Amino acid sequence: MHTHHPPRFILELMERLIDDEALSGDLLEGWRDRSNWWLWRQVLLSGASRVAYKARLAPRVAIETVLLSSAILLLLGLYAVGVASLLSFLIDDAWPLQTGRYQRWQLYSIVPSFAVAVLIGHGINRLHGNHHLTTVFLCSGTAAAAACVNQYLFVPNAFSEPFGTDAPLQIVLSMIFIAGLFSGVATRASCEPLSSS
Amino acid sequence: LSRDYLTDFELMILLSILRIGDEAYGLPIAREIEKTGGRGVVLGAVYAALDRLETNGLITSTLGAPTQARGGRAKRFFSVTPAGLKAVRRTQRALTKLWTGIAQLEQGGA
Repeated sequence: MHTHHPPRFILELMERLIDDEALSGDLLEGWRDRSNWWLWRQVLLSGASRVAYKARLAPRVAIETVLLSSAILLLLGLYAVGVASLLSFLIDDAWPLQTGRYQRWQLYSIVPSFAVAVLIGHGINRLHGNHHLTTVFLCSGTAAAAACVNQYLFVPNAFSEPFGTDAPLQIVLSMIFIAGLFSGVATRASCEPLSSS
Repeated sequence: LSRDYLTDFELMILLSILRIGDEAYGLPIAREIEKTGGRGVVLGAVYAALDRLETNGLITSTLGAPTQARGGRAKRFFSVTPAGLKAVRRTQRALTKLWTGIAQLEQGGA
């Protein structure tokens, strides 16, 4: 039987995916006699099950939510790459270093980029309660900065051809980063600690 | 959406609640299905089925007090309504009728 706490990341994930208090309580109680792997599997599958159940209850709302979220991510991705391209163009003369040196690694950057964005979003979340406008500026600024870093690392000749053929891929990479940012910002307060009794 | 008969999973859940009695909440129900049904169960799927059964008026639920052992979260206790009992009996009768008169099953073997 576990006497310590479940891994913090699983708790965060559970808070995000499972909105049913009784279900998350059952998962924590069940974890006491089982492994962390059991909790991982249950949280992920239960989260998917809840989403599928709710989507079946209100299919129109589910479709609208998916479309709206995709549109917001796409618009913010375009904004981030647009700002990065503009900055690349402006600092062309002042920044003579070669760009695109890590082009072949850009797909491998997806997972770490999402994880970094979640951490940054989690930090921004602390401001969320009382400073909504600051949160918006920080999110949009961070997304644009991430797009700049992406362009510098992954896009050959980013300064001379700022909005080139790599733009769609850069927008997708920015969308993934922004999705991570939103996930971090949406973090709720973690649950109460478990007693060892 | 109401149906005349229960799915096998819904039937297992209702029978588990009846077997467990007053202490029927999500985790014991899932354990009962794992023990007697010999199948692994995802708690989220159990809750989705419980919600569906409650919407159809076959079970009711009440929230218990929050406990420290569950990170301050309450248990949700379930009980079968008279309509739920009726649905179980109706499904049992239908299955029993289907069961009888099948030569392969009456001879035994795999």
